Parts: sequence; structure tokens; C-alpha cells
Amino acid sequence: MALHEYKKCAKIVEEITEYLLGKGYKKINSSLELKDTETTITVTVETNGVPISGTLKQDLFCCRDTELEEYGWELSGDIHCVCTLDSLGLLVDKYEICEDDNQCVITFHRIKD
Amino acid sequence: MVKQLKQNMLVPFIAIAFILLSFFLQPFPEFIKGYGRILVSESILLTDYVSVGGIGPALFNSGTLMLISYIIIRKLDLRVTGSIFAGILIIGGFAFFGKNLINVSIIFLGVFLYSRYRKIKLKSVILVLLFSTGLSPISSVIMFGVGIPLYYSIPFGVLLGVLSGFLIVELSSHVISFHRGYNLYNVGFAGGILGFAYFSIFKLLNIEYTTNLIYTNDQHLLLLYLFIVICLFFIITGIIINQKPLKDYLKIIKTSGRAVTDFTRKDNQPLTMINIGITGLAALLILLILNVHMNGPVFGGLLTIIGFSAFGKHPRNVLPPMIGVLLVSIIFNIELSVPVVLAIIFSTALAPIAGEHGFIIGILSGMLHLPIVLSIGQLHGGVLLYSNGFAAAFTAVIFITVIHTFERSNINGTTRI
Repeated sequence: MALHEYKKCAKIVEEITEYLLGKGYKKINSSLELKDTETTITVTVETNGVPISGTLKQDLFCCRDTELEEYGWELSGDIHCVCTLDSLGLLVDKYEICEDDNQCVITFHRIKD
Repeated sequence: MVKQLKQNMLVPFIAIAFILLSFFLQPFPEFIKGYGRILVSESILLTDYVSVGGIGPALFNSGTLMLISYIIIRKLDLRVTGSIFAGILIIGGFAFFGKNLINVSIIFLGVFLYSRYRKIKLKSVILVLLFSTGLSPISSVIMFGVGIPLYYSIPFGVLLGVLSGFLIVELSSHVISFHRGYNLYNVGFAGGILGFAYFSIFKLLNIEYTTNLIYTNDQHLLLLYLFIVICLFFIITGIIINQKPLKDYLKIIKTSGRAVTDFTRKDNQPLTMINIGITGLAALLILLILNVHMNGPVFGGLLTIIGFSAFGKHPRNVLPPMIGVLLVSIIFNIELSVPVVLAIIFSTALAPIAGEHGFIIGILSGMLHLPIVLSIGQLHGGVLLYSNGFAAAFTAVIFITVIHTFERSNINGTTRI
């Protein structure tokens, strides 16, 4: 297991929540599940017809970077402009988005070392 | 070929070029003696290895350390990302004034032992391993600089160096939240904390040494041309292997550069190479306008700028703090000594402030940086090479606090977002 694994998982939730709040979404539910091989974080956003998936795909570039992750994980969640999710992209391996008219479900996967 | 160039970011070429060039600059016996002097130098701030050992041994020292770092990276099956590039170049740069094979290896050993102790892969702490060598003089000064017998000083110096490497991993990841990524030389801040502790203990134990101001401008032209060639090498290679529209370079320029911004992500290595060359030349231009002469520390500082041009720095965010330091030195009639020139170069640690808040704020941050950095050496007694990185953390915190205080009051007093 990576150093500070639990804290990093918590940071993922923190960063995506802050990002969505900054975008103006008011109702967000998140759940986290630690599995043997990976951690999945599922975030459900009530969009009320304001789509999020397009912007999210632009802002989030997922490419897990082990060395950078260990160096800068404490900064995750400290987003100061609602434009990028760079730190989040360093912490997760892949993500899926499922969006309909009123809600969007985002699932992040963080594979265990 | 293109894939290889993207993966190594030209690091092995620069390292090997330094090593090969080093053999042609003086007779071989002189070279050996000079390199020996570098290895046993106390290496405390400010010790120009070009003056201590000669230009050839200094280049050899830098080239070998970069090559060894690169080999470690490849052995760990890593590619040279922007952050790793910065880590290797900071070693190569400071190898002109403070880092050598002995003192760097000792710090490396400390980080390696930490990874074994915590049962984690070395590659997960590779960045701190590369950056942590700013504390290298702690070993050298104890081993060769305080005048105690070698059979005591060497084990004690090794122990302190290993301890520093061991402790700095945890420390650096925690202190980054102090300045919130607005100081690019984060490990400089972490190292400063340790250096402050060491220096205080030294004073308590009456361990005495003097700080240095050793440098030579004799190799000005060689170092100047060498730096220009390196920058052009990056720009030309970047242009040749680039497959994206050149206007995409503007995307790099638009970023704030706040840690942790790795420009090589999204397959952006060629554009990053172009940025490396342009930023290096921009910084050099400022120094040439000031008629600054090249020596080991100045050349090393410029190498550090091009290193971090893959990890947060670009012309838009490095020039304002440099101008700020320069303005203060003009206003208060401060002589452009080597420490002040280094403050101009390393004020670029504050690049993210200018990148995010604009040109004027960037200049102001540089103006505050100079008085802080000129005072902070008294805290660590020269055992920390990243003195500017240590100072920049304080400058960043002060500036960001002021900026956020005013911004908050504009947005209902709640949050910035």
C-alpha cells in the first residue's frame, strides 16, 4: 500500500467536492469503497439539467504519477480556481461518467500498488 | 528516436556532453587534483567549485551527478517527467556550488533507508530523493570543515547526512501545505527547517565554522556560451519533434505554474523543451542586461531555472519576481554581489504567484523576497544550499495571505471559489 493511502483517498473526495461546489452544484453525495485491488470513489451530483461531464472531461486528465503523487498529495483539495483538477488526476488511475438529465454519477478508480 | 527523446528529455546528452567537455579543459593530472579538491571541499554556501577545482572538474562533477541520477531513474523504470527533470537539473546546477558525489550519495542513502524502513518503493519518493540533496553541505562541513579528527568527523558527517535524507521525505510532503504550492522549491523550505535545527545545535555544542564567499568569473565566456547552446539545443529539438500546433505553447504560458504542475503531462514534452530553452534565455537576458558575469553559482542557478521550466516556470511567471528583486536592489542601492544575483535567479521560486496573480503582484513578491533571503542565511548557517527556497516559502505565505484576505472580502467573506 502507498504511503498515506487513506489520506489520499480522502483528498480525492475533498478535491472533487470542492470542484463541484465551485461550479455551483448544490447537492453532492459521495461514497468510498476500499477493495482488495482498488479503491472506488463514487460521486453523485444533482445537475438539474446543467451538464457537467463535458467540462469535467476537459478539466481532468487522469494519469497516475507515483512520484509526483507522493510529493504533492497534501495540495490535493486545495483548488483555488475552478478550472483544473491536476492534483486529482495524479491520484486516480481512471474514471467513468454516467450522466442523464438530472444527475451525474462520477466513479474514480485508484488501483492499489 | 522521438519516443526516446521524449522519455529522456535530453538529460543523458547534456550529462555526457559535460563529462566529455570536462576532459579537454586542462591537463589530466590537474583535473584529478581539482576533482579531489571538490570532493573534500566543505561545500558550504557559497563555494564555487569552478574556483575550488577548476572548470573541468566542476563540469565533470555536474555531468556525473546528472548521469547517475538519470541511471537511477531508468533503473526504477521511470521516464523523465517534468518533475524528475527539475530534480536532475537542480542536482546538476548545484553541482557547481555545493553538491558532489560524496555528500549527495550520503543524502541518497538516507532517503533509500527511509523507503526500506517504510516498506515503500523507492520510486514513490524519487522526487524527494532528487530534491533533498540541498542539505548536502551538512555532511561535507562536518567531515571536512570543522577541524575535528577525520575518524570522528567522517562518521558524524555521514550520520547527519543520512538522518537528513531519512527525515526530509515526511517533512517535505507536510510543509508544502504551508505555502500551498506557491514556492516551487518546497524541499528548500523543508531542508531549511532541518538546517535551522542543525545550526542551532552546532551553536549549542560550540561547533564552529565560517561561511564562504568563494567564486571566480574567469570562465565567464565558456559558461555563457555553454548555457546558450543548451537552451538552443532544447528549443531546436523541441521544434523538430513537436507534432502539435506551436500555438499550444500558449497553454503552458497561461498556467500559473503552481506546484505540482508538470508541463510534460499530456504528451507535451516537445513544447516543454521549447519552454525550457525560451525561459532559460529570458533569464539569461536579464543577467546580461545587468552585466552579470558567469561563475559556478550563476551557471548552476540558470540550470535550475531551465530544470523547473518543465515543472512550473515559464517566461510570463519568472520575469516579474526577477524584476522585483532587481528593483529593490536599485532602490536601496544594494550592490549586485553574487548572493544578490542568486536572489534574482532563485526568486523564480515564486513564479506561481506571478503566474496566478499577474505581473505587478509578481514584481512585489520579488521585492519582498530579497530582504528576506538576505537575512535568512543566519538561520541555517550556510548548511542549506536552497537558501532562496527556504526564504521563498515565507515570502509566498505572506503574499498569499494578503491576497486571499482581500479577495475574500470581495466575495462575501466566505471562500475564494
